[in-house]
Formats: sequence, C-alpha cells, structure tokens
Amino acid sequence: MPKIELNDFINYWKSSMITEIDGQLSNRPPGGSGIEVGGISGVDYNSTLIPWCKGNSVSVDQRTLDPYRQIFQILIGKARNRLTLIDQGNLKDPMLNSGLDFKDLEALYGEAQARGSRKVVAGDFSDKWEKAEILFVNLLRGKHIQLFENKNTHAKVIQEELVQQLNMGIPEKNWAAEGDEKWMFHGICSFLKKKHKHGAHLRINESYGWETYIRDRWGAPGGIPGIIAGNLTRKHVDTPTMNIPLHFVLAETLARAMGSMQKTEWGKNQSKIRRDMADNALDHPLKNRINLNTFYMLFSKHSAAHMADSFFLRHTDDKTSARYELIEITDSNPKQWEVKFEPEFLRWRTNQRIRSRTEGVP
Amino acid sequence: MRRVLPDNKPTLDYELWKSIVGPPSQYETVMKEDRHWLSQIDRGSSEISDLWMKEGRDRSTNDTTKVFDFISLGSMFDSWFEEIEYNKPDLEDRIEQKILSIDGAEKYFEGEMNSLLEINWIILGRVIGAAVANIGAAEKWWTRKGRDAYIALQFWSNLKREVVGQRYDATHHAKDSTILANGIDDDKWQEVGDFYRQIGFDPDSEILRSVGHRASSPFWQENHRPNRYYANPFAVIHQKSLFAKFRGVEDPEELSKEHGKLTLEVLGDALKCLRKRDDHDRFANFAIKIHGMCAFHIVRTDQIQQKIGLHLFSNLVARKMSRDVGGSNVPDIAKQLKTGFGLAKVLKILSDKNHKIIQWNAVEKEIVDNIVNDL
Repeated sequence: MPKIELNDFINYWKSSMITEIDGQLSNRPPGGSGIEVGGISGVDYNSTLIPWCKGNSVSVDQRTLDPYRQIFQILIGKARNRLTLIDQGNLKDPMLNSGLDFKDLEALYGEAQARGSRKVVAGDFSDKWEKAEILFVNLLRGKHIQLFENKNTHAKVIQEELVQQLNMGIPEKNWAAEGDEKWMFHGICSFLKKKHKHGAHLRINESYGWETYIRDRWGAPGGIPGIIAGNLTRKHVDTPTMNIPLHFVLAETLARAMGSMQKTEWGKNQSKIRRDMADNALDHPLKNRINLNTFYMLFSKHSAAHMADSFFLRHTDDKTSARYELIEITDSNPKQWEVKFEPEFLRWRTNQRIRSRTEGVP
Repeated sequence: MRRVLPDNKPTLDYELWKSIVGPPSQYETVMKEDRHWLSQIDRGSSEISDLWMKEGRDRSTNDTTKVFDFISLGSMFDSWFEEIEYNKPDLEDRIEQKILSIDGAEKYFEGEMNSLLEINWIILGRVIGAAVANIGAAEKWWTRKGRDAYIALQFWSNLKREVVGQRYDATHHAKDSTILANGIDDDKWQEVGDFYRQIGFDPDSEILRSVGHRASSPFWQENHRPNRYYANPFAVIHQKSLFAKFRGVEDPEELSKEHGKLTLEVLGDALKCLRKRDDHDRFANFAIKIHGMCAFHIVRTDQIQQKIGLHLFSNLVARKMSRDVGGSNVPDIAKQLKTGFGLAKVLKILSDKNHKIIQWNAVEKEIVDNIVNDL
C-alpha cells in the first residue's frame, strides 16, 4: 500500500509544484494559489498534496521513523539556509555546507561498517546505513535529490550513471550479493564516502519543486505589502502559505515503503483503518461522517482497539494528522455520536478512488 | 467475546456510567487494602488476568460478591476542562502575562502562544507511563525501570553542564533556570548529542516536536540564521522542581530509583493547586507545569510503557473531553490493552492518594448486567 501512496505522491507533486514555461519544466512561484507571476499561479496545496498528507500521516512509534524524518530535516534545513543566504545577497557562503554529507550520516548513524565482534562480522554494513541507502535510492529515483561532487559542482555524470543503474533494478538485484558486487559498495552512501574529502554531498533538488515548498513553508506568506512572497530574509511569524510539514509525511511514507521491502511494514493496520473509515464516511448520506460505534469497531477489526481514543487527541502533537470532530446525535436514546472527518482527509480517499477508476490500480 | 459492554456498542459506556452514578449512586470506592490485595493477586497480561473477565471478581478477601471495576480520570482534572470550556480568553491572558516573567519564554513561544492552551495529553500519558514503570520496578513488580525518563534526567543536566562549562556545579546549577535561556550554540549542542547518539538517543529527533506543539516540545531550533538551539523554559523549571523534591526526600534511594515517584508527586502538586480558588493564576500555573513535564520527557523507546501511559491515560482523557464519559469499565479496557504489565498494579499506582490521577471504583456485577441489558 505505501508504494501506491508513493506513486500518488509522485504524480501529485509533479502536477502541483512543477509547470512548463517555454517548453522547460520549472517551479511554480511561491505564495500559494492566489499569487500569479508572469501568468503562472502559485501552488494549490489543498487539492491533492495536503489531502495526501492527511491520509498518510501515521501514528506508529515515531522513533521507528525518526531517522528518515531527520535526513529530510537536514536536507531541507541546509537548502533553506542556502536560499536564505542568497536572499540576503550573500553570494559566497551558499556554496558551503549546503547538503548532507558523509559526516552528517556518521553523526546520525555511527560507522557504516562494523569493526567486528563475536556477533558481527567485520565489514558488515550497519542496518541504519542500509536504510539510508534505500532512502537515497528512492529519493534519486523520484528526482528529489541531486549528487554534488564538491562544494558546488553537480556530479551530473555520476548521477546519470547511478540513475541508469536504478532504472535497471541493480540495487534490488545486488542488494544481498556477496563481495564486491554488493550494492552498498557502489551506491549513494559509497559515493559520499569516496568523495568526502572533496566535499561531496547530497542536496534536495530545489529545481524540482522543493525551492517553492521551502519558500512557502518558511518564507513570507503571499499578500504582505512590500514583501515578495516566499522571501526568506527575515523571520515570519504569520501563518505560512504551506502550514503542513509535508516533508515529514513523505519521509514516513518512504520509510513505510522501505519497511515493506524488509517485510516489516509499519502502520499497515492504520492505513487500512483510515481507508475503511473514509469509505464508510463517503457512503454516509452526508458524505463526511460515521457512527462512533463503527469508528471503534473499525479499530477493533484491525487489532487496534486500544488506539481508537487517542486518535481524537493526535492532532495536538501532529499537524499532519486528520482532525476528527465528535457530534452528538440529537435526541438519540441511548445517547449516540458521529465522527465527522475534515474535508482534506476525505479528499485523499476521493482522489484515490478517482485514480483507481481511471488507472485500474486499487 | 463480550465482557461488560456489547462489542458492537462500546459507546454505551456513557449511559452505563450515568446510570451507575445515579441517583442512587451504585458504585463503591476500592479501598486501600483491596487495592493492595488486587495488586498482589493480579497475574499475567491484562487480557488474560482472571480479575477482568466477564464473570467479574470477588469484592474482597472475605466477600465473594462479584463486582466489575471502573476507573475515572481524577476529579481534579475536571476544573481544568471547565476552565478551558468557559474561561479560555482569561486563561490566555494570564498565561501570556506569566510568560513575560520567565527567562527565554517570550522568544521560545513567539507566534505559538495558542499552543499553550492545549495540553499534550499523549505526551503526558508517556510521562505517566515512564513514572509507573519506574515505581513498579522499585517494587520489583517488573524489570522495566522507566529508563527513558532517567536518560531524560541525565540529558538535561548534561546540557546545562555543557553550556556552563568548567564552573558547573550540579547542586547549585540544578536550581538555576536561566542557564539555557539564551540558547545553545551549535557546537555545544552537537557535542552533547554525539554522546547520546552513541547510546541510542538522538536529541535532534526531539527538535521535530516543536513543529507540532511548541508548548510541550523540549527544544526548538531557530528557523532563521544563526539557527541557535533553544530549550523549553518550562522544562527547565520542571527540572528545578524535580531536584527540589529529590532534595526533600528523607533517606532517598539513588535518583534512578526515585524519579517515577517524584514525577507523579510533581503532577499531584500541580493538580492539587487547581483547588486553590483564591489563586487566580492557578490554571496558568497548571498549564505551565504540565507543559514543562511533557517537554522534559524526551526519550520514547518502550512500547509497553506507552500502552500504560499513552493509551490507558489518554483514552480516559479523550472520552472525558469529547463525550463526558465519567467512568470506564476495566474488563473491556483490559481486553483491548493487552499490556504486559499487571493492570491492577498499574491502577494501584495511578490511584495513589498523593496524586489521584485516576479514581478506582467497583460496582456489583448484577447491577451492571441489569443496566446494560436495559440499555
């Protein structure tokens, strides 16, 4: 299921964030759908991307997913710093420290290969590094990252070679291979290690929608007189154009998709529950609610009865989670309630149903 | 299989408790000696324990009348819910006034003041879970010691130590809540982090909490250059309270064995303060204390601990807040929760008179069955 969700994301991201200008693919301008620059409107997050977040936000033990969220946080944080410096007119510093490098990974995950002990063979790659590699492979496949061979030179040739190998399925084929053929010796982590001394790093692909996302999330919102939408030169406390941390949900979904590769898919039952809830709500005469007894029973059906109530409290902690409103049914005896879902959550399922009808994918 | 309420009608919990409360009132408080007895005889995971089956349990050692247990959120929480419902603007003003007098708070909560009115019940549940684990371990009921909370205690002290440098004095600086108010440089933050990452806890992951709910988040990294790190000032105040409690303990064990008890005492103190009607800032103080407890709790690794805290406690809160359910039957909770901890032991800890996080009552099985059959 997370793989289908990822495919949906890829399509939603491309259609929402990217547009064609003079035959070239280009970012939409920051500031949201109400802004228009040179005839090109800003991003409409409400139609597909925010609903996708609401449908994919999971509440499994967040620690399980943290490493992936952190990698995204570093990639986004460094790109944001770079763009801030550019907005401030500092044209030298942006070349420095603008991506995630080997040292960052070591700080996060420790050493890549074991030194050897009674239980671990010397040279074995650590599980965390393998997870990072799978993440990078998926990000590169989706055009979300770029490889840089030194402080400011795009490693175009190496990246193209790697992409070719990814398209041929080499990482999956050679993942468990023995000896030199093993993918970990040839993949993205290996590139970072080999070229570390020259300043090799990974950057989030700003020209593939991420610059606009960063400016919409941390920059000036549209409509402030005298300030260009998305400008990062100073701190803004107003509600941003995009107030949902989409990059965390993407990190979680990627992690879940990778988990399914390793036969440990997290949040599987929660996905089923959310899907069933949305389907039941769309079948209700008002198309947006279910009876509270049904709500509890759906959690029980998927062995998660103990989690049902805490879903009402989740939004405090997690801006990406769907909001549930409890409404008492007037004059019911014994007293009964309905759970009303926010429109964005239901739109996630409606979008899926439309896609399923047009493409035949469940 | 049904224990108390029909599986397809769990929302009858509201009417059931309403009928039990009466008038006439049909419940009885489970007394201290019975709580102790039940905690001693409870065996196995909650869903298989004999105490919570559909047949009910004996009322006491010398009375075989069958009863069902019911638990409610401590009554002291009620006044908080009422304040939030009827007096929100005044509370908002009072908290904002309080913020002005706390070092570093204005900066930390800038643009996020509205988060201060919302308690993060899920994290509070985790705090309670870790405390219960620690108390039970001290009683030798189980082996889990609430290690999460202990690492958190150490981390906060080490962070202060790093910022103060050579002059650091543990006893003196535990009382100082201003040390972290001006932020933490990147190199110092990384240095502390490197040590903890080696033992499996990455402080950077906790920064992400500030995105969701600033009030209960432990740290925040400036979204703008120079991107300094800031600690939640409420968490630092909580640290001060914990150490003050520890210093007051007569004949204390080492802190690793005491922190659960101390944490629940601090929570109990916060709850008791809600009764002081002449103190107009009591709700603002309560919010600050609870946010501080939540922010202080930074390590979350133990899932069983989470079931106790997160699900048992937050489920009571959710039902109370959203539907005003005053009491929930324990057999149905035990069936759902499937916790590895002895549930009676947990209930004993949570209903302790020093904090009364929950109230533990019992109702005769026959009465309950009759009400349910009539609903």
